[in-house]
Amino acid sequence: MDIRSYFKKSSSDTGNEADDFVKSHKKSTQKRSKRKGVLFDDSSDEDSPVKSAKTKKIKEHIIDVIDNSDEEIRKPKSKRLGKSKATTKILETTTPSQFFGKFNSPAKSKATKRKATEDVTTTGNLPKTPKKEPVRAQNDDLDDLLNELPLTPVKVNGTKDTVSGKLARVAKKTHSKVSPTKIKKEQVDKKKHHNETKTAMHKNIRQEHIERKPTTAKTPKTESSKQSSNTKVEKEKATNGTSVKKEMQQTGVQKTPKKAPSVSDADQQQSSAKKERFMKYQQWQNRSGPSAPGSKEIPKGADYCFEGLTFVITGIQESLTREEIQSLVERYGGKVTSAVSGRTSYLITGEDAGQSKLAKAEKHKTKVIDEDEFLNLIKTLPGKKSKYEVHETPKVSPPSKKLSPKKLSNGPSLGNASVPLQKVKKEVKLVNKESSQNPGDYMMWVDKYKPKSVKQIIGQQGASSNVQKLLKWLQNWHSNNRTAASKNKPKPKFSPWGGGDPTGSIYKAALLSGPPGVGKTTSATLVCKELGLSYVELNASDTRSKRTLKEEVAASVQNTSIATLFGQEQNVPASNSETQHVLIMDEVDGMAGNEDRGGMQELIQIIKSTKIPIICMCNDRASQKMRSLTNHCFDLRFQRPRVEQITGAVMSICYKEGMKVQAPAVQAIIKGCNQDVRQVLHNMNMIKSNNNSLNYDDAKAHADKSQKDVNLGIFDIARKLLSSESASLSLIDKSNLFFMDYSMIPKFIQENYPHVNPYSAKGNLKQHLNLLSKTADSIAFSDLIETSIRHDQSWSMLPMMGLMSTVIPSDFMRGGMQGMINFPSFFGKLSTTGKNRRLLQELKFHSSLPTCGISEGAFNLDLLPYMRWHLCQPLMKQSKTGENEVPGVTKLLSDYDFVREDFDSLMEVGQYDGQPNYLNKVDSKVKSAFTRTFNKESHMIPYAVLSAAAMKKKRKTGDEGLDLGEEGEQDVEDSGDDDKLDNDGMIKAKKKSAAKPKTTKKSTSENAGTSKRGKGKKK
Amino acid sequence: MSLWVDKYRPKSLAKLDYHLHQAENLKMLVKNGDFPHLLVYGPPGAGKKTRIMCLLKELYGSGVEKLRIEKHMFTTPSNKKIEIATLASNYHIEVTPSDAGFHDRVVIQELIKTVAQSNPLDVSTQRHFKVIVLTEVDRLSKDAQHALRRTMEKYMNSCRLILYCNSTSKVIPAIRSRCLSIRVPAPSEEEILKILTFVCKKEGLTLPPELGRRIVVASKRNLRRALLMCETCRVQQYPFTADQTIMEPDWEIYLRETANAIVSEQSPKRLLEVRQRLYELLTKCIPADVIMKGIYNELMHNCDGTLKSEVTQLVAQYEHRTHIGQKDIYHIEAFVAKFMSVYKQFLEEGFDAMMF
Repeated sequence: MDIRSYFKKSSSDTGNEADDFVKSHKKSTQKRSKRKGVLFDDSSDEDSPVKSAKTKKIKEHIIDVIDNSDEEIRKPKSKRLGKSKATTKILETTTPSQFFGKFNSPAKSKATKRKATEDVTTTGNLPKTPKKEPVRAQNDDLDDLLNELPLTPVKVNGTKDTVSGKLARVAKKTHSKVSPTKIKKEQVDKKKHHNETKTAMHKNIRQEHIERKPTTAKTPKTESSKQSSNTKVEKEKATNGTSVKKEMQQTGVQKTPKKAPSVSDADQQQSSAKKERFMKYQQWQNRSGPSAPGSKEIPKGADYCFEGLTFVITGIQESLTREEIQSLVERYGGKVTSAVSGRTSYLITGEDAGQSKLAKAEKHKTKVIDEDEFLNLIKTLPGKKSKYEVHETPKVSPPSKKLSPKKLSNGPSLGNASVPLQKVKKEVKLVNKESSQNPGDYMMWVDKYKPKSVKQIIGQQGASSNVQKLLKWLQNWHSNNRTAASKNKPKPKFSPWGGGDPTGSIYKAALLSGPPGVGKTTSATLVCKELGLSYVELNASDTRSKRTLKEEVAASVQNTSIATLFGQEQNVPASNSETQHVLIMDEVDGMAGNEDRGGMQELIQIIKSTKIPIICMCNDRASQKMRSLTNHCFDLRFQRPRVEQITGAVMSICYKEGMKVQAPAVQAIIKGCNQDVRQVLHNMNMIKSNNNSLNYDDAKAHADKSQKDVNLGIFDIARKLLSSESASLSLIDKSNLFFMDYSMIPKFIQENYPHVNPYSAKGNLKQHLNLLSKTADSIAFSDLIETSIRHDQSWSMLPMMGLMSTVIPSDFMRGGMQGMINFPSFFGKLSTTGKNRRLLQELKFHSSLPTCGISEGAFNLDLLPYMRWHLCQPLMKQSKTGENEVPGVTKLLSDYDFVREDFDSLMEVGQYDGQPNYLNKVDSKVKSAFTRTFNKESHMIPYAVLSAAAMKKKRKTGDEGLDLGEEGEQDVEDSGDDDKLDNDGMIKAKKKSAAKPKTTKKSTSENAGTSKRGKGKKK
Repeated sequence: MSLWVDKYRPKSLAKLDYHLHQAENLKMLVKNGDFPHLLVYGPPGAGKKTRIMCLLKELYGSGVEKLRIEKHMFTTPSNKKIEIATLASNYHIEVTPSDAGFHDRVVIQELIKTVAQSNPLDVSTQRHFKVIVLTEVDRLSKDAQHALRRTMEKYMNSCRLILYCNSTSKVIPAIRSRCLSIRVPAPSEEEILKILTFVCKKEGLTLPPELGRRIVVASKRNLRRALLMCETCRVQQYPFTADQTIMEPDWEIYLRETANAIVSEQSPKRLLEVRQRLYELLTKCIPADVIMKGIYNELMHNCDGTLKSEVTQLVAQYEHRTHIGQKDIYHIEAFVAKFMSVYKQFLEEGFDAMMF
């Protein structure tokens, strides 16, 4: 397959889509011309010079676009580019965020904003104003992308723009390097050109069709669903369901005609509710993606226009995926929930909408809207104020000042013990403490806003939270273990509840496990502080080998007073000294390698004999290294805090720092960081240093960027590549995913690609098969490349292999993934093949005298099936008629020098899935009779049977002597053979006639054989 | 009570049933006292091995029939121990180096050297050379074949090689040119029928010619299979009837079912089922090319004209790829997917044509 065809394909695809874009684009340009005046009114309210300059520019721009749109089309694109450059030059003084901030940036002062919205509402032009903006914004976006504005926080929601935007970005990056990127850039330009030309023409047509479109679009869909559903019943129901939906979509928000179909539906459900549900589930499994992704333009709405609104999405929308809608809703401050309730404001329906949701929506009088109406909603709803909006922009300094006394007051409260300890530690914490004395703005947020008390730890407030458990455990540690130490009383440790003990009283150590950045170390240190205990922390930066642990730690643990080590006794009340120490072993899973050899074992020993509590911490408690330690520790597992929990804390920090943020934006960042609190804070810190505000789009872009660094599991990678998610991945991204494990990913793809329902097939079976074939081709080709790589060490072909095995299949098959990702069956099958081959070789080897050394292939293909039959047929006959056929079978077996095990392997290798199994028809009595008879007879086999491991050992030594003996001698004499038999346990039957005297000797080996066979019988 | 195949195997060149002229030539070759390395090839079930054994008997007398089987240990340069089974008499040794996988080169070098370097003690009573029979030469790796090249010439005066394979296409030309090639073609249908009736007569049975003919056709000119089929028929039912069922190997039935599954439905679900079946065949050590051929033959029944040539071209292409690549399943699956796509298209076009 030529790689060019890959690119070609994608370009033609975008060409098709372009037509759709054109329509929608055109619509908006026409509308724009009508409402020109409104915008001018609106902008005249603004008085800042920057704003006016901007609006002026916008005006020019719009006039250009609207009035001279035809002319502009004819203009060479270079000229247009030049012009847009010029406009951006004007704006050079303003920051990008200000530039975009016209619609949703908090940079605009609140007063003006409110005024603007009031104006809008009073004039009643409310639906019109926002409508105009998207087009302009998009044009700007494009222009910006094409010029150099790498920092522009562009995140556009329309598929058109994301596609072109991405291409443009790629083009920009690699502009100087490679020629193919030039093509891309041309594509972008062309597309832009295309859009602008055609939008001006087809708009009316589209508007007319907008009512009908859902129905027309659906008809091919229903057909395809018919094809896929097998039973007739299903077909009928499917059509029924869709017709209902059709009606609903046509009627839109009006609810009256909905009752009738739902009643009939109820009847049906009553009759065969279970079947129906199963069918629904099947349908849901086979659901396809949006039928026309990116066909609709996504308008820009007013800020927080969905504030306080709750949406529920059901069914498949025409152009937007569920995720896209969700991100749109969140972007405008709304919320998406999964079930309809009284509080739900809107239910967004699509094809195959859930009946129960619709019913509920009716019950709760929820407004039911479809995709178009939803988009309309974005355009028309007035902007609101975010509940998170900061009322006064606070200065940066006050909060930090406010904080500092708190901190200072915190300091003494830590207790006397901790201060000296912290001095000793080489931790950053100490530095922080000092720096907090003089209110330093240069402190990292993570340290600056480190929880000061146990209550401040995010997600650990509950009574049964890990921190509380740890607190209790530490509090009771000495009372629990004192008795054990004094040995006067019986130990309460080995209580009947054992490991299920919720308080962990029997353990001398605790193990905190969980992903990084959730607050394990913080919890441990804070709990110690809370209880007034001092602690020594050992982490990965300290050497923790067996020796050092023994010498340094074990001694101090036994000493029961660490403070004495540092000569700080005067601070510690002597009587309490024993109770006041904790050993914190951080990052115990990092205790590996040569440096820390034997450390884990030593740690366990220390735990067993410790007189102070030990707190261990690790990330992955399931790993091999931690196995032994987990048995000795009180298990406390830290989960990632929920997004909402983090959001609140981060919002308050942002407020203190004087940063304007929106809750959805923060949530996007949190999700992007995978709920790692530390990373969230670092990210916010970084954003703050660039910018004083953060809106949703920036955050989303930022989160996407940071998400790339998350290391994915192999199953996640496979899912990412095959599911609809891969749409957002570039070629390079996919290729990078391949390189995460280049030997496994291709096999995962190969195993799972047929399970995917590709969107691009649009439910067309022929198209689907075509895609499958192309994918399989590509994967097969990657095997050829891999062979070459492994054979000739041509590792430079690895990227090519990644392209063929991962990128191209993922591109073809992208779509709805059904079920879960399977582990490649290839490996299992490979080992089965190996096993069967070994069995075959042995069979061949055993029977090579009578068959004159038949080749393995011939044995498998010709002899084996008939041999099986000849062995089983008499047994089957005996089971039926009762005649004694066993002797014939044993005769045949021994004629071919087979042993009893060979009979089983013959049966196994020749048995195909789904073919009748001969042995099932054989009576178990006959089977046992056969085994008995065969074992009773003495068989002379011309090869050694290795029945015991001991023989194998002997054989190794005996082998050489045997070889030598046979090399020289023409014919091995019986007497000589006997000698050898004694020491090597091998039986040689050179000739059947000559073998008679050997039978006595042979019985030894056969006895060994029978014991084995006896086991076979029992099966 | 060995099976008929082995029971009635001819033991000497004089007793061979067909290719008599060739047998005559072999006899002449032995009579001259010396002969070059031989490369015996031909389709399975044609009698290659029988001929080799007859030839050896002609050379050394009945002593060759005293066979023994033993295992030899070899140590690879990487200190891995491999065990190879050999079949040997005092005059010859038979070995399948390809059993050792990609260590076959070691087997060739070590074994041939040890065997060839020791000259027979008593030259007066026997030939001055030993014979090494190498089976399945077409499965040898290129390395091993190159290792063979030099050894063949070096030890020419103490040993002769008889190479034995199904097809010479995978034997490198250098080796082919060092050997006298003997092709053993599959017996004609008449010859097989003659042998079947002969064997039945020996067993005291009468074989109806119709049944015999059917067996011959079903065996696809594979004598071994024909005899096995015939014996199976005998056990199933005697006296024979002309229309009794002839048992086919299980894997062939399974393969046919697989092909039918491909033709009867073309869908992703079916593709997964077919993959499962292909895996089943591959795990049972059915070679990929046999699978491809089997599927192709069945698919051909359902194709016509233009599609036939297209599918033939496709199957050739994918079969070739199985030889270049390593993972057979990928290529067979790709072929099945391609066929499904092509066939679906073909069906729909045919349907459209019927409509108008």
